Amino acid sequence: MTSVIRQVTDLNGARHVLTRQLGRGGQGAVFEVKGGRLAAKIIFDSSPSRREQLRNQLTAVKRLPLADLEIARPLEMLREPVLGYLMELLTGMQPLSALCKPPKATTSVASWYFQTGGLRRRLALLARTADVLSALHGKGLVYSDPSPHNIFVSEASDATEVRFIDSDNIRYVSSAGLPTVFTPGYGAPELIRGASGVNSLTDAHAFAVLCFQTLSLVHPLIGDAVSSGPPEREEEAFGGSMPWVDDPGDSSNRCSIGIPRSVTLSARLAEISQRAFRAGLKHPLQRPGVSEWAERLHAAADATVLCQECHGTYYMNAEQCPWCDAPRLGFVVAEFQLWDPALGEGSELVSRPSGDRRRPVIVAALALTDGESRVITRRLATGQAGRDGQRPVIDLKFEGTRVTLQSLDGASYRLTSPTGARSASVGPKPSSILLKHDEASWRLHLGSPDALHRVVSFTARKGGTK
Amino acid sequence: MAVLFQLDSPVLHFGPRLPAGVRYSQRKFLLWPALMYRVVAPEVRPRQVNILQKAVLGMCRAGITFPPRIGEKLRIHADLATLILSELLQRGLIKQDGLPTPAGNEVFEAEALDMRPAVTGHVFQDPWSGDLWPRFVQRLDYAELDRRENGFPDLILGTKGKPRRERAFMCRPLDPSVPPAPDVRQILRATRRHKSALRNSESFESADEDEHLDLDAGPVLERISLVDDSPTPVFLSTFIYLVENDHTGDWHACDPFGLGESPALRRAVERELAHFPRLRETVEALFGSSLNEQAEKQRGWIAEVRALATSNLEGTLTVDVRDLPEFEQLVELEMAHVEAGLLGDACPEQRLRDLLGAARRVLESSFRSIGARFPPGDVWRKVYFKDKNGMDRPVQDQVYVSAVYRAHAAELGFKTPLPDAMAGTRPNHLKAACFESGWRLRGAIVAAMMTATNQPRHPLVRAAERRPELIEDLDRVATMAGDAIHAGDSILELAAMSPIIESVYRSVAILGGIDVGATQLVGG
Repeated sequence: MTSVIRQVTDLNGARHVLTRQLGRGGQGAVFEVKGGRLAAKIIFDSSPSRREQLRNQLTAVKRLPLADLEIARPLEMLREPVLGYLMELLTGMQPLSALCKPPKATTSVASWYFQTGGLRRRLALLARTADVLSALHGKGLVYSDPSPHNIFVSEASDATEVRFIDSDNIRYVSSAGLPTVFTPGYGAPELIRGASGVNSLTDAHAFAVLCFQTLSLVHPLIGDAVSSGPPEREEEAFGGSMPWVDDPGDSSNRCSIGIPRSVTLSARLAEISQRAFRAGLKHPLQRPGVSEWAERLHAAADATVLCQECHGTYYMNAEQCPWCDAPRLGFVVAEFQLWDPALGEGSELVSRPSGDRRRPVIVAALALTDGESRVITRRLATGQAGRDGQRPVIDLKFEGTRVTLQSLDGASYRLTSPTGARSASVGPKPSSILLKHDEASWRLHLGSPDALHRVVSFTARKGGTK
Repeated sequence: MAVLFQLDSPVLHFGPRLPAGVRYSQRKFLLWPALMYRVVAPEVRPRQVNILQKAVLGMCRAGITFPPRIGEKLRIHADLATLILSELLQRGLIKQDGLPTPAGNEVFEAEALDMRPAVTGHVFQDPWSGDLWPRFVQRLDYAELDRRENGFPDLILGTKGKPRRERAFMCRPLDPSVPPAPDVRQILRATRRHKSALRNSESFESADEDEHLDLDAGPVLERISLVDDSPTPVFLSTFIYLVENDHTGDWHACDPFGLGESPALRRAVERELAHFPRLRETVEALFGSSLNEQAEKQRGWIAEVRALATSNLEGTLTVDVRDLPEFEQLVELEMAHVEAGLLGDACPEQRLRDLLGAARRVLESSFRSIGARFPPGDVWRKVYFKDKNGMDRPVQDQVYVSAVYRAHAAELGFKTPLPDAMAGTRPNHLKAACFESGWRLRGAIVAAMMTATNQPRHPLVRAAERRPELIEDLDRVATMAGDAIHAGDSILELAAMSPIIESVYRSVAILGGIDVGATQLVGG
């Protein structure tokens, strides 16, 4: 039917010439609209009642408050006889599935993993994906069908943009019995059993699966016993009847392939995975929500360093690069602490008891590899979540014994010496601070001196040994 | 009355792009104000046939298909009519018998009778002059923006997967007055010129060749109407740019509607420079960043030329050249030589004059260092006398002075007689060289020569053994350099410079005790 459609008209009467077909699935096809900025999704469904239902659903989705979320939502509905809508064209993007499985011709999985951005980029993309889902849940909405095919990410390996497509299924929390849509492998066990409709926890399960899969290149429920077993076993696994591949108490579904989790998962990610796929598999209420995933994924991405030998990224607590065994070089950790002027002069740094001493509260940490630039975003600077949290604030570059700082948002930020006796400012022109061993660094203040704000102190860490 | 253009007024992005084959070296984005009117007008489509094809098609439609007859009616040659008929036939607009096909009729109606369907679109008016932009657009493309803390928007361009932020200068008129709404003739002209631009020009300013024919055509005008009474203030995203590898220093403006260069926008920007200091800064920044880039390239060029010059010197004078006190001056000379060679015929004459100056500075530096190691003391007294008041006075008898110089040269073993200019070196120049108060080259040479006669380790002693013509060589350099500086009329050529430069290198090698072997350098 769609092969003959060359032009569609939206409800405003504007005509749109369709150029090439971008994709085709069971529900419909997506075409590029002449002009290079829009795409038209045309849904095939011959049943008049179903068409009406879909039209109503799409119209409802169009009215949802999704403007500030990275979701390719319907911009305009198409006129009869076509059922579909216009959405933004996702130029320079590809499905997340492109990062979950190496192409068949790949000779080195590690090389492919690096070429597609490595560990740090995967963590960052997943963190942003979790941000979107979390914001959606915050509005009382559920996406219904998170899967690596419905989430698009930047093609360029140095970019971390994320867009959800197929917004047709976004809805307010449904009840059991209503038709639910999910992608096999990503549906929560209670959805598969029909015991529940879609909700934020079914989204959280799907996200946990795709997160584990993107990082480790294996499905968390498909171990050797499932992959070599009959097809029904896969259904059992997806239904929650089999242990997950890294279940510490049950090794019956161990997986012999994939990237070791010691490499891809930080301790906190390993812990949250246990909760998601062990207790959370059978008891949805024990499943971690996506906002918790988001926080841990961001923290994990921040805690990675770059290997100067193989250019892979790995967690800063590893003594050597897990990809090439090169010893970890010295690096700097930017620790984000809390500064509360109300605590009185000399004791503004918020601290908590640790044994018989008090230690500063560290709310975030960013690892800086020698020669590499990293950016303090609003998320790090102020704790702002979501899309606005990605706005760049300050560029940091560690070289040798100095850290160079440069304001990226045009604002000026205060630097104070360890004793607080001297101060300087960081503006659009680069400023440097020198790091000395066994000496506290200058502090970067990320807020007004009169109010509670975050401060950054820099600590040089020694290299690892082979 | 409130300001019409607000920070949050819509920004339209129609994809401004450079003319085909043009690349920019620098660009700055602008958000240019326009008053947008929604109108109903004939649809703008690219032209399908040219004016002659249209006329011939009209003839065919009237049943005149014989080429000589068409030629007679249209006052064109019959061969041209035949050619046009064959073009129309190839495009399927006429049949073999010369009569129009349905497609031909359709094209003719669209082109000649202006039967284009009326559509709703938008025209844009300059808020200052009231002129209409010669554009008619049906679909509005809104720019993706990210607002800064101060409310001004940044453009978000690039792909969705890798967006990039572009800071754009928003030119916001503060005058609340609105020019009169465009009349139908202006709107028709805008659509016509848009059509013309789509067809044949990277610039929208060329009017359609037959625009004047039916601008007053009643039926067409009747089909045009304004939908909105009042305009919508919008900003059009575009950019000004410098063309890559264009050294004219001229900047250009890009058509906001994606049709290449826009001289009209450039004129508009120039017109408003006086009223918007920040706009002026933006234009100046275009040059500033370009100049910085050029300066960076120049630094790279200098570094490369220096590396090549050093390499040439080491090849000619061995690595020992680095130990010579005049090494830096030698590098400067060779750099000037390399640059002149690279520039070839394009080398300005001033550069060649500078080259000779550099040659002389090398020799001056050589003799300055010789003077430092072997101070001349009061050798100058040999050409001075005391007057009755006991004051030192230069000997005025030039024959005597020359004889003194010649005697010293001969004693060292240099070829005599000395060149006239050298022999005529004035005693006060010699004295100045002895007191390091002046560094006239000939004075320094003569001082060194007179100093060397009693000092067997003096470089000139060894030099005289190796090349008795050395004083002549040095004098030739001094003469040419002096001529180059003082006589602007003579025409210099690089080819004529090369023997001089070789002579300098040879002299430096001899004076510096650099053994370059049995090379032609020393052999002369």
